[in-house]
Amino acid sequence: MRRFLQLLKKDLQASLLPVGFLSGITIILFGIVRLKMASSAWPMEASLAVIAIPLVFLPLWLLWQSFQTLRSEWREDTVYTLLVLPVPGWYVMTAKLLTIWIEYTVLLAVIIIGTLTFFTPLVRFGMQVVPGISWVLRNGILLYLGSLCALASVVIFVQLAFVVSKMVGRLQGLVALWTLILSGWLVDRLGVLLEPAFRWLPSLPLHKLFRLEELEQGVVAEWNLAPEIGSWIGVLAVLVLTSYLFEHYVEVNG
Amino acid sequence: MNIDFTTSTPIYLQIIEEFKRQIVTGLLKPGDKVPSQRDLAAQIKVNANTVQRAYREMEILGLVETLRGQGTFVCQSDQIVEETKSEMLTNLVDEFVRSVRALGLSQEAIMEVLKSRFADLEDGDEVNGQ
Amino acid sequence: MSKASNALVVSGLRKKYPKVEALKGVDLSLPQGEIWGLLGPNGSGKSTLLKCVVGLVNPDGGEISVLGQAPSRLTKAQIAFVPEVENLYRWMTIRQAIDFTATFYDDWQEDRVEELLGFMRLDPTKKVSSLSKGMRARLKLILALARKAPLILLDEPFSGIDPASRDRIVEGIVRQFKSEEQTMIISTHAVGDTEQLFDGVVFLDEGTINLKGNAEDLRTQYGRSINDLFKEVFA
Repeated sequence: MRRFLQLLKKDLQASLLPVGFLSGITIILFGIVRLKMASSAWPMEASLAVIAIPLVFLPLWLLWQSFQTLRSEWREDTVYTLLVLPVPGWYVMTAKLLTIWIEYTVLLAVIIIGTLTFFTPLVRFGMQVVPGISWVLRNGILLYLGSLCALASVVIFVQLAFVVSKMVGRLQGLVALWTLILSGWLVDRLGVLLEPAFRWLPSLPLHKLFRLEELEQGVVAEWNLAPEIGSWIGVLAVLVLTSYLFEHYVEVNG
Repeated sequence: MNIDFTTSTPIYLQIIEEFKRQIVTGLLKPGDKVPSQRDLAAQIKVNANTVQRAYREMEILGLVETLRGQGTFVCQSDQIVEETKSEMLTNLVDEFVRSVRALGLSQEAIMEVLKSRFADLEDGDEVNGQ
Repeated sequence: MSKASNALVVSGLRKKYPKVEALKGVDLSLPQGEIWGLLGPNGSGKSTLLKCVVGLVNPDGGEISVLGQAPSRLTKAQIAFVPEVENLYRWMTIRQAIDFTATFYDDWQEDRVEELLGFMRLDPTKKVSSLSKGMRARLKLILALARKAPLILLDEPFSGIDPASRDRIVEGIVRQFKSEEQTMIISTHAVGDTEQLFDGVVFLDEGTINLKGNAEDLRTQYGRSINDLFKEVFA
């Protein structure tokens, strides 16, 4: 545990600079929009579009970061330190995954707090069309947990693609791309394949989970979980595979 | 202690030679404490195993003795100094004789030059170690 | 020699990169308690051999036995490897780099750290990125010598560093190496004044061993220093 935490600490410290930078940019951007709104220089639509930029940009940056955090280990030769450590491969992989979750959480918090402070009237206006503060909090937390899972699966696929590309001497980019496509397809197929085994599972009533009837009467949204379970098993298998390959087969650049 | 490690002679033998030189010239006297193996190794930047081998050989030769917990000392006996001295002398003379013989001079002629050189050097400069 | 008394046994080791065959069947067994020089010009396969031992590179064939075990997470815990490249996180301070490394090894000797920092003349508050090449080389050596690792592998520790750092490193090795419980392999392409460090030497040329033996025996047998022998073999 001490060793895992040390790896996590290292990744977190390394991400201080980019996360701090992005937080700063977000706050500055929000500040500019607020000034423009106060002086009515921008139309409302334009302001809203600019406010949305950080939130749209965030997943793209996280995707880039999941690749970058591994790539920098090779580029800066620190992989020579990482690969000789007597720790299981999943320590390294999950420390990086956890770091990306924390980066996501911090940047999301900056965006939410920034929105609440800079655009209070706008938020108040928005609150009028939703059923209430507890509804927003509940759904917000549910969406956040869901997005953590979605983010994890993307990071896990990127990690596999990167690690596999480092097992070959040439055409690493092409190998990474094909690994990404192939592993994604395989995990999807695994979901379809295992679907019959999980048919006994009831569908998830999303309209109840998110209390959608408070927004619109009689709305029904259900999520058929049966094909998802196999895919999630597949994603976990990918994480295990990546960790194994990282510990046993990956090489430093020759 | 200073050793030139660029020669072909095994390093442990060079260390022993250096100790012998210091013992016969009186730099090290019977009963003197010599550096610990690790200190000497660090000082002359030589692998400790090599120094250990030199010390072991010197113990076998009776040049030094190691007392448990106290360190390594030059042997108390004056006899060993004399023996070492005569051994070194023999080696030096052998080398000298071999070189000089190659010049094809008679023994008398060589002895003559040798005597006069001794006389000259005793008046003048001290005889250097070299 | 029995297997138990060998720190490292390598047999028929082969490794091919896309452009070059780095190791062409290397057989080697190094006894415990000695310092061995792995000598050869650049590109002779020295680095690849060490990387195979520590698990940074996967051999294409052959076997490796580190203290009687095949390379694994367990053998990684027994090896202190100092690569030629700058493997430390640049944004860390010296103290952070030391604390980071210490976490991962049970054989870490915290009480030795201050002594080593003093001997290597390093200020622990300095950032790795601000250090000269020689200082970084000294720091990397501290991270290896602060451990009581049974097998220490130094890849080109003297390459491209100032003479003062080089002297410190040589003296550090002589002072800290414990022959009762450690074995060390030092790879170098410039033998120079470091030959007195070695109990034994291995000459590696284009992925093949062409000479190996006890250093003192080789001096006697060939009538010249290891450095001269090296120059002659690789002339």
